[in-house]
Amino acid sequence: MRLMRWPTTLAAAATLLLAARAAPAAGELTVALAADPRTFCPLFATDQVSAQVADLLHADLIRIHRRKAAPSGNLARSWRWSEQGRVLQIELDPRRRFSDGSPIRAADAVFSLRAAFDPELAVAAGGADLVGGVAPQIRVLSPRRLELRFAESRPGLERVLDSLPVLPQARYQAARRAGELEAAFGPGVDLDQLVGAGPFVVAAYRPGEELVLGRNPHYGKRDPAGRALPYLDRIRFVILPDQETRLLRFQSGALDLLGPLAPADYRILASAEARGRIQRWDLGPALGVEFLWFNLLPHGASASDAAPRRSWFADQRFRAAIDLAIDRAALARSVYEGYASAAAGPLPPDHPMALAADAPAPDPAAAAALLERAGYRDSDQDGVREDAGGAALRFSVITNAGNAARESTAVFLQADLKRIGLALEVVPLEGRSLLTRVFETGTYETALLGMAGGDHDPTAALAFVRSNAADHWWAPELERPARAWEAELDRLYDLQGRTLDSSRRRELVVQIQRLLAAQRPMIFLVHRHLLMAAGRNIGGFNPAPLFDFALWNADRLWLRDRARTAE
Amino acid sequence: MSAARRLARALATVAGVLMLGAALQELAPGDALTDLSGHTHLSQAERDRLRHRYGLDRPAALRWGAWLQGALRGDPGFSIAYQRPVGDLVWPRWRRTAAVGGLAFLLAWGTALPLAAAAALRRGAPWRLGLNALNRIFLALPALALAPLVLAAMLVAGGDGFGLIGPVVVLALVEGARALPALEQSIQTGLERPFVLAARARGRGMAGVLLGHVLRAELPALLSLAALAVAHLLTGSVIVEATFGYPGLGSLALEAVVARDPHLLITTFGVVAATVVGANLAADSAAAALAHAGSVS
Repeated sequence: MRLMRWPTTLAAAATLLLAARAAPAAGELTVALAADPRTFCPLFATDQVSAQVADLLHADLIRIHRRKAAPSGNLARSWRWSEQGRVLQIELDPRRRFSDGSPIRAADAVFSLRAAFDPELAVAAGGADLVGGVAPQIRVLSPRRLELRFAESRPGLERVLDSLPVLPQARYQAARRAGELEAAFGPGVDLDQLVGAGPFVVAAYRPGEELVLGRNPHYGKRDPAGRALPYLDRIRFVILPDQETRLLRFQSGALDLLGPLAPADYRILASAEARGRIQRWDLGPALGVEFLWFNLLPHGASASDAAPRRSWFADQRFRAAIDLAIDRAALARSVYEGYASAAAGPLPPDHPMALAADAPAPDPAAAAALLERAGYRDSDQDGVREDAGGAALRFSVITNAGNAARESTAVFLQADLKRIGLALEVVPLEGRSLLTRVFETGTYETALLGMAGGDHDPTAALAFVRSNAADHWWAPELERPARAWEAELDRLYDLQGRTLDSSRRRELVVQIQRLLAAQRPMIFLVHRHLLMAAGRNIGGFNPAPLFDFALWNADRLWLRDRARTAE
Repeated sequence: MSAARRLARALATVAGVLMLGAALQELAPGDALTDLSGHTHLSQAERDRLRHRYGLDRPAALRWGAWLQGALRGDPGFSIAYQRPVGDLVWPRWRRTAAVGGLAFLLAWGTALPLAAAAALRRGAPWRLGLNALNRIFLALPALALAPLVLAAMLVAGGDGFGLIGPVVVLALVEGARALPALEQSIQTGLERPFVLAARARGRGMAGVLLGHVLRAELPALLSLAALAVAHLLTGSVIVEATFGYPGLGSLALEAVVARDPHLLITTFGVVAATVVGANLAADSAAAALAHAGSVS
């Protein structure tokens, strides 16, 4: 018996020794932010910088795992569905505490979720689509248990809890009652007053310069070896609006990670990778998509109606001819240096509900024939077709000025369309001018932009197809669908959001994509690859396809070697 | 011109800049909340509610009138982008830019003045060709081109490019190149003045002549040049601070433009204008005082 214990004891000692040797070193991670955060609370974050920072300060109950795209417990130790998926009961993890050391109670979670679902708070972390537009009833069951009762059972309801922070009721109730909850998390508040349950707390903030997050000593999470998380002492966010400066600083070793990267920057970093200081990641097609769309606002809905162009854009054959003329593979190769994939629809090819089809192959001859049949002919032989009324098929595309990839894409489209007798004028516009034209005045013809995907779930990823959606690109926030196929898109979208059977739901999502592909209000071009780079001194770095890509597991990042070697 | 008239002219200039800034903001499409357009979870009604919260839905005259009232009381409004009072943002940034600008000025003029004096005294010397060529190179390189070069050089040399050094070096090179010909011209003019020639004829040492006569005589012109340098350094700081990620007034102004942050933008306009106008006013007043002292003595 005594002899039998020796191997066990030796194995345990060896494990402890290895664990001690591999113990992640504490340290400081330096990362760039493109701008200052506008809030320290995910509820009010409408920009990616704020969302990235706020997510590190707070904790949600259930979180979508950024690599597996499936729900995982955060403050929730366990959860259980009942009443055919309408009622969710959550038990809190007793080890977790707020950053001021106070315990996290069910009452805190209920207080926070009621605030999150309050329509009077213009909250960004919506989820209104996921819950069918009706907020759940939320109540405390016991000090550590709470219940959410949804109006109806819908697929992926846990997802609505992602990024909804649990806030200490005692600390924020007065602000909530006074209608000043958002102000209580403004970047100008006294840092000592900020309390959350995330892995980090704000240690110092100098606007326009840097934001330093320190370890939350009460975080309460531990790794499998029993070590307290987070490993890092600090994350230093340096505010660097200029992309070139960020790249230079990363090359010099002054920043530990960088991304998402533009293809050209990714290529530039190849030599640094070859020298062994950094590692690059090409995570493949990201959830977002680059696309061209036509202004299909109903007549009278925009400040100016260019009558002939309106009739072309409303003509499905005209839109189909443009779709056929574009060589997406060549676009991915030339503009995105191969770090993009031709798009068949809004969802990337590896998405489980994406259209099982390749992106349309370019066929300029078929596109030209389609235009001929539709009555668009080059009667005066000047290289540009005319419509039945004699108006030349000349129109413009607006896109972001200063976004090199989009400007190049627009020029690429110009060349493809010229081959089928369409004259496209490229108009780069400053961001706000562009958004004003698209969403307020409607004074544009076609536009070129991209969507950044936030969630794999089709209810979130395809929310733009709803005719009343704010980002219903071709005609935002319609009171009612303007065309039969738009009404059908609305119906299919609502139906998939209520369908629990996953294969039936997949059919509906595919139908939505087929209808989009048939009507082509948007021409999907490419899915950009998600490109990242990080110093080899960062342990645990595991970039993910879902936001925030790099720091989603910040509580498990550590530094192998604090000394950095400059290029 | 009397001191009162100079002050009135300076105030009118700042007021004109503020009016122009407000007018440009009104004419430009969109506002501070336009970038929320198309946000999946924010409807037009919610965006309108946010606009109301920040007073962006009020008539322009009321908005700018309220801002002016506050600014005159020392409260230049609230930054939507930074969610904090504008005064808390602008003054620390102004001090940082003043530090960079002041050091750059000292470095530029501290180098350019002796070089200009040497060049004025040795007009035919062969090294002047090299100096002129070097000066032309830096005159042809705007801060926009020079800043990334200096930053890259610092990073290659092992520095991290943070702090004052990079911005100071770039601004000093640009300002030094701009000031050198003007300083040389000024010193040359001074050297040709009859009383300077007389002093030299009496065998007074060159250092004494330069310091005691030339620079003293040319002080009003040098003050005007220095006031111009303030304007150049401020405009140059926008690009230089953005490139080096240096948090000064220039980068703040750029961020305010990008964010279309109305109070922050108009306040940075006003502070920049007041700084330039203030420097000119100080130079004019000093020159007038010197002239007055000269006429009295």
